Amino acid sequence: MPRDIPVGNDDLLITFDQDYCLRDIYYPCVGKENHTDGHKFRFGVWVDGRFDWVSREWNLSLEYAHESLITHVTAFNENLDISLHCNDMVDYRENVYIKRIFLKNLSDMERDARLFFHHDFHILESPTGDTAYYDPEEKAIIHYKGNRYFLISGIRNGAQGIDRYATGIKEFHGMEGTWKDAEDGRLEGNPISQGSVDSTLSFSVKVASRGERTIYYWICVGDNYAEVSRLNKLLMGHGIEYFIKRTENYWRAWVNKESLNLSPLPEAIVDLYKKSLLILRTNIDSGGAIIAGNDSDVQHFARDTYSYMWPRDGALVAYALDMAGYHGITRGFFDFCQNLISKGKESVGYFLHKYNPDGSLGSSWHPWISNGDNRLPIQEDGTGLVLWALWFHFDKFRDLEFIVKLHDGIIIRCGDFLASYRDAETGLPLPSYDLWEEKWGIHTFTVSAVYAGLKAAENFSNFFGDTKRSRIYRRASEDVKMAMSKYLYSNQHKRFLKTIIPLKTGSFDVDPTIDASIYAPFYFGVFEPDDEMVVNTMNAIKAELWVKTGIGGIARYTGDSYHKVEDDIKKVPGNPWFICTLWLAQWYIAMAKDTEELKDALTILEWVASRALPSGVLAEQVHPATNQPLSVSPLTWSHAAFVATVLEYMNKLEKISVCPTCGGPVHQYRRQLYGKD
Amino acid sequence: MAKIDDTYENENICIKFCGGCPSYPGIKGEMLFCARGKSSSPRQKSGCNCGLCDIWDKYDLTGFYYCIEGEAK
Repeated sequence: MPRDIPVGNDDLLITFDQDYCLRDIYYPCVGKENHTDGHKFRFGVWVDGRFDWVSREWNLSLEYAHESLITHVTAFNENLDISLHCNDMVDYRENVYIKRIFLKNLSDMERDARLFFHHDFHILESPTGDTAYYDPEEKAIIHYKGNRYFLISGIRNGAQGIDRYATGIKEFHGMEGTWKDAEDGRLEGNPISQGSVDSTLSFSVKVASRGERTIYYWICVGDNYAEVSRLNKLLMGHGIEYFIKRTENYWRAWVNKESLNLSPLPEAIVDLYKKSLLILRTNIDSGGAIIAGNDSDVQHFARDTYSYMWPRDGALVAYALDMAGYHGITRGFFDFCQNLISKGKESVGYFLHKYNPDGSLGSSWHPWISNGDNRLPIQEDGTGLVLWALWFHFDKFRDLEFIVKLHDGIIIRCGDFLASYRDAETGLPLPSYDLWEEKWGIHTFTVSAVYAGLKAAENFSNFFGDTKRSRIYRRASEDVKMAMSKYLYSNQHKRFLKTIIPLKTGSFDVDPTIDASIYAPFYFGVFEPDDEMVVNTMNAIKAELWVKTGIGGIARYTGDSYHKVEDDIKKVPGNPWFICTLWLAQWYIAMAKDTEELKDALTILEWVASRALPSGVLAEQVHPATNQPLSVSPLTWSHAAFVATVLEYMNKLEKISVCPTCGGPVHQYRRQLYGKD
Repeated sequence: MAKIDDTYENENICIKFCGGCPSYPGIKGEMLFCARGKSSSPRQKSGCNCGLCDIWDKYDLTGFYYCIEGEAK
């Protein structure tokens, strides 16, 4: 089940599923230590003897409040004759999750209502050794294990505290947990449990006929009792509304800080642009890691999650964020990369497969040996793209004091690696794993990224006056470009090839599969967008990878089996992916010479906006028949590709819409400085 | 580019960089490949520290993987 309406700050991330159950609590890193291990935290309502857990069976709408990282959830239950309006948020500074509930009685009688909150913690991702207890001093339930504490309390009828609670054993000898106890409307009050435990608490309110009551609920998160106790007192001292308001204001200011004039775009696109920025933000850790996606359900499919920093994904997100003006965040990402390069095997200038949010090496399925030969199991595009994104960052912001710290670490080491990790005969980069992490070989996408990385290294060398390295990198990039035309463009197929695999004989095995990633040569600057090779390639992608159902979109490649739902590959070559579809829009934008030619790109942006969840969340892919999100959701790469495409569109619009009288741009979308006429 | 001096001093510089390199062949007596030529048993390319080495700067070298490709020309 995809994740929706994530809320968080730099250290704490909360996600929900489509039943509005809280499903993930990541702390102290965004993406590391999921203290639910993906288990459901149920939320239920009892009214006058009838009980129900909130789920999609209700009339449920999951959205965000306008331009902020606060949820706007409405839930209506006809049987109970009540409606809920909820706002969830994590304070932007303190590690506190707050839920505000407006409970409305839709009947003509005064009624007794009880709200139930169930907590199925698996602290440190394991049910072993947890404790849950009622703390009378804090008027709260506390779950703890080792140095992880979760204090849960709330306010009803204007006073802090909870009305009833239960702690108990779960997942042991058939015991389901305290949530079952809630369904009769009463909790039996066991004050402490240890081992594999859960808890449920309830708030009771009387609601007048057609009346409404407000209930607040919160979870304070910290490393020890003193910290969660401090947060509990802080909430009561300032009042909950103070935290809600300041967080709402902060995110609204954050997402609008550049004051872009996006008025030429349809409202749905502007709305998704801002939501994408906010959703991206929830997936970035204070240590700088940009996480690919935090959706623990994906482990049921792939035995692992996407809660890692992939250098490729991170670089592409950093690029989009820099385009959007968020250089404060991307600096953290580049520092994170520098730390990786400064130690271990990576110190010769490459990145390995993926990393945990704390900078430790992530899990991998790429072997270090194959058929008896040692193999360097990298995805070399990741190294190239980090350098490429870093140059874009520096070129835009010229933050010299920042970049100079990365010069020896990232720029020189990665530049040297890209320049030298090549075949002496062909000039091509040596084989590595492709961007989809499936195939070993030499890939058009990877080679384009290597080229982009080398050009970035050359630009830095020029800037710093290092003529020797500038020459080395320039020669290497020229060799790579020539080799791409020679070995990776196929006159027979009239397009770039996805992959060639070198053979011991000196020739290559060709993978003829058409793959959307062969868009890369134009995007990473190897060839112009109107180069015949690029035009042929993009036309082939369009013709062969467009999904021929009512849903549409571009598939990753023909015969893609990842989350496959349809066997007819002529109709559905693979499920539509947001990033692949946006790559086509990026080419339309790069090609456009007038506003008319930009329209095809706008159509794709509208397509993406129409395929997002109502909250704005973009999954990795969607079902080709139903448009349901598939695989991880949200995927930061999808959101980054959307942000980048919108800004590329606006850049192009600004460039090609020129006032015939003054020669200035008709659509100037970037903020004018204060005090400037 | 000057010819690299095959000296004890350069050996000492070299081993600090080649010694920790993932492509270093590790054959007894083999080092200073930029001066002496490639290894008798080269490994496959797995990253190269040559560009970080003081000899690389001192002699204005521009290549990499001397243990595999042979001495600097």
